[in-house]
Amino acid sequence: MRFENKKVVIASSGGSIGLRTAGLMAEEGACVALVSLPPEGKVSAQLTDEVACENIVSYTVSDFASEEEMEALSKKILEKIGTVDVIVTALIDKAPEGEWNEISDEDAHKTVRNILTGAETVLKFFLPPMIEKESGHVVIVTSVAGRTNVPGTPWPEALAYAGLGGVIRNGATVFGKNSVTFNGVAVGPVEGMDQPAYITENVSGIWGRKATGDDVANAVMYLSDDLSCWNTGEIVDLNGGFFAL
Amino acid sequence: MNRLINKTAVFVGGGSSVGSVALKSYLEEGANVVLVDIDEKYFERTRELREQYGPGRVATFIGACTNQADMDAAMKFAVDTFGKIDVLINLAGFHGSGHAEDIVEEQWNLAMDVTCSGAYRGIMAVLPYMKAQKSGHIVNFTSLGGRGNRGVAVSYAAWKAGCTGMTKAFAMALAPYGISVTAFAPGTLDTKQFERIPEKGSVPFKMPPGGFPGMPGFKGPALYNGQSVIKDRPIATLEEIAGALVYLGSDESSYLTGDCVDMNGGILMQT
Repeated sequence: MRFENKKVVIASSGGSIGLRTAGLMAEEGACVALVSLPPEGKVSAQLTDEVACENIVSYTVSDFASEEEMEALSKKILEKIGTVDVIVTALIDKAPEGEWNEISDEDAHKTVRNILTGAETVLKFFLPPMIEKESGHVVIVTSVAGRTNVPGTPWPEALAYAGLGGVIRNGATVFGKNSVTFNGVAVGPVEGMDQPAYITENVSGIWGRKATGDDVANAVMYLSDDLSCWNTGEIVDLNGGFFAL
Repeated sequence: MNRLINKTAVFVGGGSSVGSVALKSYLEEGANVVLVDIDEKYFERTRELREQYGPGRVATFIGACTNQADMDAAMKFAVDTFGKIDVLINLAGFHGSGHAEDIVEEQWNLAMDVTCSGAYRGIMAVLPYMKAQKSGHIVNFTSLGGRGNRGVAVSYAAWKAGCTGMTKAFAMALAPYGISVTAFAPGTLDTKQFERIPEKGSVPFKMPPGGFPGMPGFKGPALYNGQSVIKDRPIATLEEIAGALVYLGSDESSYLTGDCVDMNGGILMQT
């Protein structure tokens, strides 16, 4: 099995990407800690109904960007699974719609915090075991809205998702010396995700369908596989051919 | 190990180092494979593997991607042998001459004819079969040399970049038939497990004094912009390349089209 005995931490805002990545990785032998936002019990119920895999343990956090909360959770998870081989983040948030000057500072900071600071905080507490053992893969799920202009994108979302691209390239450069890879998957519309209308209505690839959670999960698994260990600093644009148009 | 079960793949340029190692991965994942190349000597690299799996899983065909009739015959052979074609990987490439001032017109044209037009001919030949079955994955093997500023022959950079552009156009054109078209652009590969077969008529590429950053033999400083950022990993293994080709040829990547997937140790992000 491709991920036999691999320890995987998935930080997900909820929805099909985190759930299906956890499910497919567990089917390939991984031990998965799936960390999601409230309500508590929702993801556990989905796991039971849709994934039904004993290799997944579900955790809930109220704020991925809270250092206090993530530090406590990372201790708890690392105590249980021992180490980390793969970190996956799939954090999304919706900023209020509006022109740049119509979005309040408070709303803008909240969106950036939930997407960008959240991912950075997850990495801060789960990356050290990888650095210590000099191996591991980080895969950050970001959005097509951080790769190009998508009409209607609130600027804090464009900023935060583009910022994740910077995290990927910077992480690749900094942690390559520790044999830790950093890559990303930039998604368009995905079934089973609570995405804003500017994505679902304005990003239409040439397939004429949304991606499935499995499509994204398979791209994440490709980048998490040990055969991808020379792959770093890259972002796979999984948008159904949107960029070919 | 069933990611390509019941699939049939055709590798044009299948006797290359990459094709030879990808063959093993494809067979292990359950695919049947037809290797297409210009001379029997290229298939010697995989003789043992082919004997192990037998003619029920792997076949060879002599043909050149510079000839449309050869490509048409190769695809017909694959369908006659295994019943269908699910995956086409265009691996054939030709470097041509080196520095801008050394370019020989014949080599410039041949590099185009193999690297870019060869992929075009392969696609045109497989199209009737994939259109009829309303599915298929086409992977064009391009290069970091066509993506970023690398020390490769000008002709190689030009036509690998051309092939990547062509990939996007074909992705649009073939999506209505359920056919995905992607490019894969790796950096330098470790091919030392195979004896090099010189390109017919190619003027060997000469490095400038001191070499190029990121290429074997570079005599510059230990740290420079443009090298692999991964510790002790200046180049890719062929098994890693084969792993990417499995992903791109499988239904796991069926939402991906028109994209160029890179693998370069972080070199591209610095260019």
